[in-house]
Amino acid sequence: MDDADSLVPQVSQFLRRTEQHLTLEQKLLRLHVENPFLDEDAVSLAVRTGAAAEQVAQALAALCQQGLLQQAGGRGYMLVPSGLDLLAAQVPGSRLQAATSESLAAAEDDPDSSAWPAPAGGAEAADSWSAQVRQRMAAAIRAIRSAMRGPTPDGILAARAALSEVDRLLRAGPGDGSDAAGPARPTSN
Amino acid sequence: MVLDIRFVRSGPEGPKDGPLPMSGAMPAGTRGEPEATSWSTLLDQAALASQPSQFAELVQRLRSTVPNDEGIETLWSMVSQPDSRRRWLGVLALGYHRGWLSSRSRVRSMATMASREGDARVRRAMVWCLRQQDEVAAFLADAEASVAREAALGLALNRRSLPAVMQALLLDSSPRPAVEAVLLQRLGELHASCVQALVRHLLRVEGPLCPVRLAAVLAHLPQVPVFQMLVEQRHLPGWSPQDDEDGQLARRWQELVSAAQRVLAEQPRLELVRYLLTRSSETDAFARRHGRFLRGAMQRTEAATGSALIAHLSRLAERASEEGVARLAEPLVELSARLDGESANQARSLLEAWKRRSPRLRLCIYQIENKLASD
Repeated sequence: MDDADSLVPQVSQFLRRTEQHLTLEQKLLRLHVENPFLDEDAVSLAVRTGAAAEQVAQALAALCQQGLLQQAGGRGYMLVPSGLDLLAAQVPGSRLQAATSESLAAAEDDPDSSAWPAPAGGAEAADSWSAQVRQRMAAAIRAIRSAMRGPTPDGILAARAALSEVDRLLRAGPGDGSDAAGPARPTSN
Repeated sequence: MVLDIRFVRSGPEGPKDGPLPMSGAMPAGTRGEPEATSWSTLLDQAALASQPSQFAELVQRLRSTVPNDEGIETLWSMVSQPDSRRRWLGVLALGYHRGWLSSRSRVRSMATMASREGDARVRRAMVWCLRQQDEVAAFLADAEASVAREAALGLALNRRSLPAVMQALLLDSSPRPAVEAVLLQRLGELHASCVQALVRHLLRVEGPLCPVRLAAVLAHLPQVPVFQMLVEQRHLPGWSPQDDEDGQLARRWQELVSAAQRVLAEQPRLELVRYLLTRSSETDAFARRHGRFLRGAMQRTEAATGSALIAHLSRLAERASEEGVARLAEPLVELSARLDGESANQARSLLEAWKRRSPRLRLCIYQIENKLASD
């Protein structure tokens, strides 16, 4: 299960998209859903998200303005209860209405179960997976081309990261109900 | 020191009994009003919350309630129960209320629990809980990528953690881009004194170093201490060629020096260019020895930093001798040729001001301008 799966599924569902499609604001909100005790300023959150500190500060200000986060003490940020309800209401087919506490608890106790809605159908899941593979491969080719044009350590690392992402996606396969670009599924070791 | 005023009482005349001013009942184990079950009740309610707002409210209460010793004990016992549904939240609460970190035995216990923890989500929370502690370094090699990344984020960057960082960045056979990206980004925070320790460690590392990975590490370190050590060869690590029987250290040293020279010449940052200019204005020997390096660095400096460099040159010239200003003239002429707009005007104004300082300096600057124009 994912960090936030058992907590606020509809919010997580809203945030659970491929990393490429997540805006910085969504990434920041997701971090606070995954760890609601997170207590970090814009500079630390910039390291977490890989974005510039100025951009993170702007995104945090926007989230505060939208009523989703609020400043906590003098440093970090925390989730705003009413804002989360508003966000949850925006998610179509929210799982929350149907979910009972018992089912959530059961999902949490079973490491193999997913609190996420299953893909609508096998073919649809496979199509979605293929599209993601194509997208990631295109990104990897772009990164490799860029690295070959002017090799820099950062460029080569970026190309390697892109290839690793393709590799991970291929290994996960279409049968994996998890979002390919979402957080890694914990193994029960 | 930060004064915790979250639960400042209203004074000696204030209420001594009853709940503190917060929504709902005072949770257990809080300062002043310990209640044996409230922490567990709150965590239970949060773990089972089905509404986001309900969950967030409970978390807000857990955050704003400072546990006393009894509260810490309650949380600790919950965390220690392997089958408890509340463990994840309990660990996070301990990671937020960090008074227990003053006990080394607690820290070690948490590290041991984390190393034995089977649930990656809880293990990651435990690593977050231990952030900025030396024990975090061991989790850089965790099999679960999210745990290793959390360790990279929470690592205390110091001499003790450097071997684990170098292992993750240079020596691990299976690359982990998410962990490497965080560690590389954080290398810039490394204190200058630790760069020497890092180079010393790299000198002793056995086996070959991947040139690409080494270049990436060097590119992210603070550039001035790297330049001082590996190019200027000041602050050398404590080894002498006599101790190096098979020449292995000398070979590794040359490997580091050539990699550093290449990286610094290709991607000089403002901090390094400023240092080069300062030292050039101060000593003729430095300017002669590293003049070529400075020229290369100036050519690669981004035009966006032009204004900052002009301001720095102006400050240096104020206290520099005439010879020192003459040594700074070439970089300034070169810079002014690459700039446009307001920055170019600033550079030209500064050059004119320098020309007015003495006929000799004026002649020197004319010669430099003519030389660069003919090139």
